[in-house]
Parts: sequence; structure tokens; C-alpha cells
Amino acid sequence: MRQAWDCDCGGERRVPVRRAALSGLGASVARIRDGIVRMLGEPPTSCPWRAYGDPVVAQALVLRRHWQNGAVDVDQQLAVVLEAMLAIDGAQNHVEALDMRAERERREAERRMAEAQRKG
Amino acid sequence: MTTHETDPTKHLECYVSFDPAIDRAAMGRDFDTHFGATGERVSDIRYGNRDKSLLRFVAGKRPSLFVLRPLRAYERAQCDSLPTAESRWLRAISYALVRAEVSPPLSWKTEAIFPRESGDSRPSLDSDALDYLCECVSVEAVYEIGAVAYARSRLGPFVVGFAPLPATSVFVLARQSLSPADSLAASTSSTSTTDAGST
Repeated sequence: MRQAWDCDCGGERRVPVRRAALSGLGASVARIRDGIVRMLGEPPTSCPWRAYGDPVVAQALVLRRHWQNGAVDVDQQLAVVLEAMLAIDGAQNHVEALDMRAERERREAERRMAEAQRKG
Repeated sequence: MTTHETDPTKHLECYVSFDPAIDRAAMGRDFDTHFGATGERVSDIRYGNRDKSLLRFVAGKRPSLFVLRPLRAYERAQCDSLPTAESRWLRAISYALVRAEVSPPLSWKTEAIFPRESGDSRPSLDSDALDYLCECVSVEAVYEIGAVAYARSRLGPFVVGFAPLPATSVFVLARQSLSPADSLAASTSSTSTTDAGST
């Protein structure tokens, strides 16, 4: 999968895979990329794994862990890190809401199908 | 090539784009890559990465250096509460400046300026020190460095570090109003100019 992102974040040189492929890894990366744009509004500038190496993202994830434990003086945090943490929180909430809606629709479809089978 | 600052959580050493000690011709395209660029429209704004390796200096001249720390959340909130871009930049630099090493040709004297030690929520560079800094390097230079200090505290899409001077600024609008005059002077126009009184 990392190979398909044309990214060397694993430390080794990768042979790029054509992203516009109609099938295989290239197509799945294109689908993931489109999904990220659809869900978060912005295209990713790197592969998802490289984002963990970004210093702001790394500090935001640490801050988020402390935030969830309630051990953070918000005013004293770096503004850019706090903003990043809120962005990560917002993105996760948005994705979870989309997942819940998809799950609800799946259950609804199953219920309707079961009802149709009972009547039939 | 990165289009944004690599780590806005660390101290940043930055220079003023119009410092005469910076060799703009030698930098070429790297100038816009380093400092960013403003255009006629907001969409023309390009981000600068402030990568020190791209800088080229004029031989024998020393550029003025400004060291900035990242703003904390309450400091950003203080800046955001102000009504104009310029006032936000001034407040941002008054919080963020760690050290300024000013020297000719940008400044009229060589001096290292440090803010006072601050343990409370007040800006570490008070208004007198800010006035003195403006006197040394011009208010435009202080605006530019303040804009960097303020903008690097904001998160762009996927951690784009900071923009050059925002196009909403009165100062930038005034500067941009000079651009059409420059471009007209440089271009060859097919329209002939006539005096109102001539026949």
C-alpha cells in the first residue's frame, strides 16, 4: 500500500505505482485520496503515514492524549498545536459520524430486506 | 521542495524580505520560495518556507536577524481580539520576539535587542521597545516579521505553516496599488498618450 503512494516514508526506495490505475493498489490509493477529500475537504499532501512524522501532528497527538486525561492547561499550549489537535478531533468526529450513518443505513437496508422476504 | 515551514513549533530565525543585505538577484526563484509572494488576488498568495539554506547575502553586508518563538494559545487569542491585521502583527511580534540582531543596511545602527523577561501574560516587548525597534528597522520590517510570527501560529490545510503578508492588510493593499504602475511603465503599450490641451 505504501508503494502505491509513491512515498519513501518507510525508509526504502519505492518504485512508484501509477495512481490513475483502474484496478489494484493504484486504484485503491485514488479511492482513499478521494475519500479523504470528501470527508475532510482537503487533499492529503503526503501519504497518511508520513503525516505522523510531521512535528505539529506528533505534538498534537501527544496533547490530545493529555487532553483526554484532563491534564492540560489549554492557554499555555502552542496555538498551532492546539489548532492541529482540534482539527484532528474534528476530523475523527466527522469520520465517526459518517461511519455511524453508514452503519445505520446498512441496518435499515437489512431490516427492509428481511421485511420484504417475510412478506414474500 | 517544501512549500511551508517544516516545524512551526520551534524557534524561527527570519529575515526581512526587503533587507538590502539580501541578494535577491542571486536567490532568483528561491526568493519567492523562501519569503512567499503576494499577488493581485488572494488566490495568488504563495507561502514561504523560510528555509535558511535558500538565502544569499550581499558580500560584505550583514542582514538583520529576528528570532521568533511560537505563540501560545492565550497569546494568539490576544492577537485575534484586535481589529486590524497590523495591530495583530504588532501584538504577535511583541509576544514572539526572542532576539533581534539589527545591523546596517536595514538598520541605522548595529544592536542586539532583547525583550524583557516575562513571567506573566503581558507582551515581553513593551510599546517603548516596539517603538525603538520600528525606529531602527522601519515599521514595514516590524509588520513583516510580526506577520510571520502571527501566521505561523495558525494552521493551514495540512499544516501549511504561514502566509506572507495577508492581502487584507491596508499596508499590503497600499503596496500592491503601486504594482500596476510598475507594470505599465515596464510594458510597451499600443495606446498613445495625449495631452488634454493639445489638438
